Amino acid sequence: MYPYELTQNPYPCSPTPTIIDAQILGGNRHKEAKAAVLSCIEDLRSKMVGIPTDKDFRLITLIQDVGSGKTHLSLHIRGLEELSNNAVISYVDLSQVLPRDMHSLYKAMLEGFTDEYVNDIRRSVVYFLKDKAEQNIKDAKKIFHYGFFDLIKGRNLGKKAEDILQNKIIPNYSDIHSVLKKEFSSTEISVLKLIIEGKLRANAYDVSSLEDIIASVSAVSNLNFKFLKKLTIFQIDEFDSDKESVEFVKAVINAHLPSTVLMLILTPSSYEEIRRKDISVFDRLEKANYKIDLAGSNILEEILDIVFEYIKYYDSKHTFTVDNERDLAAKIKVIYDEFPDFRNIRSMINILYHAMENAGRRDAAIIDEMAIDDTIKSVYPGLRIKGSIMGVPLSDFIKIRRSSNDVQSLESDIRDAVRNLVNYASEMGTVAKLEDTNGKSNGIDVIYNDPTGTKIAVAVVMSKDHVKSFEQISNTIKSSGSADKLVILTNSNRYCGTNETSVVNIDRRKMIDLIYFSSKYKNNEMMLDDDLQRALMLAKSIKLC
Amino acid sequence: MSAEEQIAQRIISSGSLGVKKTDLRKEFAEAEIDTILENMVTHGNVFIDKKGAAYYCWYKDHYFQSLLNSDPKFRLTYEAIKSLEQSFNRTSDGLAKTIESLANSIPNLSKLTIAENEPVVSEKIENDQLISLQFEQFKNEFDIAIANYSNSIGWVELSKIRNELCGMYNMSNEEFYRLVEQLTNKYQDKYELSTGGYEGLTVRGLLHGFVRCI
Repeated sequence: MYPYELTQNPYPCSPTPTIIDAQILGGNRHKEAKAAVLSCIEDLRSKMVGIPTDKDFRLITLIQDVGSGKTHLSLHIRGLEELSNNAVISYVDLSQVLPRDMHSLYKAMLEGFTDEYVNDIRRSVVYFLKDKAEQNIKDAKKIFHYGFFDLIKGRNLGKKAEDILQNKIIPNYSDIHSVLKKEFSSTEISVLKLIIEGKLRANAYDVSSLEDIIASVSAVSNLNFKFLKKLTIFQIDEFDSDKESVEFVKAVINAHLPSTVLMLILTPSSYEEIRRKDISVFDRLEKANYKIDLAGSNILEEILDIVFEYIKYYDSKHTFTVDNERDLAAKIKVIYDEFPDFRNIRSMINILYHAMENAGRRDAAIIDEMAIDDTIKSVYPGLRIKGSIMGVPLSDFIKIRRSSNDVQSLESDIRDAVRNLVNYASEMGTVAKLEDTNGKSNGIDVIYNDPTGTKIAVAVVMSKDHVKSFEQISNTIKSSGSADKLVILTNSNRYCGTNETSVVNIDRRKMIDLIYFSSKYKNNEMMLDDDLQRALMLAKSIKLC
Repeated sequence: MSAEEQIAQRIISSGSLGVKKTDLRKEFAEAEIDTILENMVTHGNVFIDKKGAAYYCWYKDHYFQSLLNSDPKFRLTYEAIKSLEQSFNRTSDGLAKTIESLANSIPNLSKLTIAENEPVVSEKIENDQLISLQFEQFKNEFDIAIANYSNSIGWVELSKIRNELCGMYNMSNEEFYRLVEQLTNKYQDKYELSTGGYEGLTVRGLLHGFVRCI
């Protein structure tokens, strides 16, 4: 059993979306983008009256950075049940098309249609011809090899049509042309023959020129509308500035394919490249009917919404409560805040997939801290905090950060850590032994002599009226003459030091460095030379030695 | 000595009084006096002007003196300009001394210590506010640059903004990208980075060379 009483891990483990993963769509930005695409399709459908013309073409651009969910959104739209009665969709991933010549691009467009579509249109066309035969249209029966003996044996045309669909008989292709020539163009008839043969997607190399290819694609769109009453949508993913692709797409746009929506999916970088390389195509993209972007798709709220959507999709018992949501959001926020590397949905889903597996193995009711810690350790073992002198592992960082929310205890931990650090430096012979300040501290936490014999007093000042505290401590030192120099460690960054007083700002990362060191020191884990070097570097960075 | 040189010598020797053109014609009867004078006037070495009923020739320096002596309006204008020049020079000298003095004081200012019982903290707060102001100023300029350069979908190449702001503030590229990193981290929900481009910030090992406001 997985956390939140889920029977399966809701998160995908694939680094790129699959059709099944794409059934789930979270995030307001993605939902708005989906609504825009559906609106475009609906708009086009509402304008379609009678035979499709070149006015019935729409262009959509979907532009956003890698890993922001463009492909996920495209696949989600492709799999939408509500669209299945209105449109047929061909999805092309240009990153899988090489070489990028017009034939391979055309082939990819045809192969982008689903098997279900190919079967549907084949059935529709065969039954269309059967209807012609039943209406005694000249030569129509010949297509089915329907003759006198069939009549005697009681075989009807419906049976013959099914035989063709099951490839039991081969239709008489020579008669198809004479039956259809009044209603269809020669290109359409060629395409129809391929459909009946079940070879539509194998046709790519039988056309010689770009003009023929465009005519064929146009015919496919026309036939889709005529036989299935559906629009045709071409989704071209990973569209870039490759010359052949750009030229091909330009031709497709210029052709105004009837009853068709062309959806180009690209990154801002590719968009800029196209602007540089082919201003004519760029101009066409600029004039797209819908320019969809997923602005802000990587902000925390969006990521949380998507992450929860996966759980809710599989949470048939509604056991994922508001409290669960709040708890998980807090854990994700720590990762999001501290690590720019994880500020994208793909990385976050990867962490949650592993955390879910980890928690599932332990039968944990929720994704707990251990699940995240273990995930970080096992999935990102080499990951260290950026800017951390002590090389704090990510899992330790998260743990310390979570436990340091209380400012009082944080100050106390820092004070201990500073004392431990000076002690350690003293043990290593870098500074002299520290003096006992207990009972007479007056804000001073540590006093010791540095290698030059200067007496240093250290004060940790946090969560206080800093101005007052600094003045008090400074006055104490001056009046008592107990130290030659004062080092104030503070979380405020509003002050700088003087000759007698060094004010050192210690940000959250440095605090965590100190606490991490302190923990290792107390547990006698400072074993390696590397640890020694790092600890001394930490001491130097906060002007303790 | 050529005729031209002899004529030039004659004009120079006449000083601020100048020499009559007709006298020159008499003295150098064999020379093409008009051509030679025209040539000298073209080069700006000699000036010819009417004094009384006759045309006189002056060497350039002497002509200036002649005007000062003979034309009161010219003399007054010249004196006014001279006075303005002196005043400007005095101001420039004063400014240079102030700058020099300030430059000398900077190291001392940085060494200033907190005097006993003197609340210098407020000065430090001002300092800090200055730093904060600079960051805010950078943010404003950055936002303006995004608005100016963004394409129809809002994205801008960071290099374009870097070009403008580094030129404007005499800032190094490293400093620019340090501030951009700080800015995009501080306002995560305001800015969005995108991969690509030829320069920018590296996130997840990917070069992010585009930015836009969300």
